[in-house]
Amino acid sequence: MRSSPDRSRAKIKRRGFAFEPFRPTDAPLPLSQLDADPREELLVFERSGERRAVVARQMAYHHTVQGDLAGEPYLVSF
Amino acid sequence: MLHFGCSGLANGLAVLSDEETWSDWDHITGECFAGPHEGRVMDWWPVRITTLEQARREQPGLGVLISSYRSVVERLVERFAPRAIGGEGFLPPHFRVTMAGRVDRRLDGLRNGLGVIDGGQARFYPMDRVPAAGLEDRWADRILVVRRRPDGVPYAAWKGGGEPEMQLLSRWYGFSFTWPGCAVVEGDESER
Repeated sequence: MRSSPDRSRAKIKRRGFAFEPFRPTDAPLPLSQLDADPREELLVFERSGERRAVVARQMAYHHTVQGDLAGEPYLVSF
Repeated sequence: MLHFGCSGLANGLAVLSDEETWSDWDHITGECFAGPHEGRVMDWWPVRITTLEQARREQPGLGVLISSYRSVVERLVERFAPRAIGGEGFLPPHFRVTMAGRVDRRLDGLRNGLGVIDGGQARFYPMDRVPAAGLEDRWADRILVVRRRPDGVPYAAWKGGGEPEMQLLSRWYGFSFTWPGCAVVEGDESER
């Protein structure tokens, strides 16, 4: 049975985000053009057969990436 | 449309808020637990974590979203973020004060594993106990097969086809706080 967080112990801002959310506006970079260590970790998500990736280290800061993919909204959290 | 971001911590896990109402949402389950949207639950589906090397082999046409945001904090987090796949990880002290109680002692809190949720049931498969040949685990009248991909990440699928409702790579503390009392499956044995 899942459990909801105990808000009495939580540290949550009443307004405003602790980290800048990632809301992509640029076209995705082709994987072949990504200049990074082969061990670089990626989060891969899919909507209606179309896939995108984000860099896990960038998501360690942003915590969320949100947008539209294949005409459907998505929210990825990390 | 609601617009989300991380607004804090609960149980050492990120809490999301929407900037329209500042309601608080569990980032793993997608459930709103406080605020005007309390009780709402987002649809969820698994996200896969892999390496660039593996992605180039399997999905060479993949597009990568790159953030151009820069700040001192962002640089520090990117520089020191622990690896999710097999990395030891660390828990900053300020994470612990947000925990509702002690971490379930059946495993070390930072132990990495595959959490699987289906039909209201949750099980955790420690990554280092998934054999190279994979393991089989009975769920009621079905058998779940847990294997490792070439990138080392475990993944689960039903023996007859299909995948469970949700699976995620997770540290034990986060999974056990979200699904208290979940079963832990090590090797071919279940510990319930």
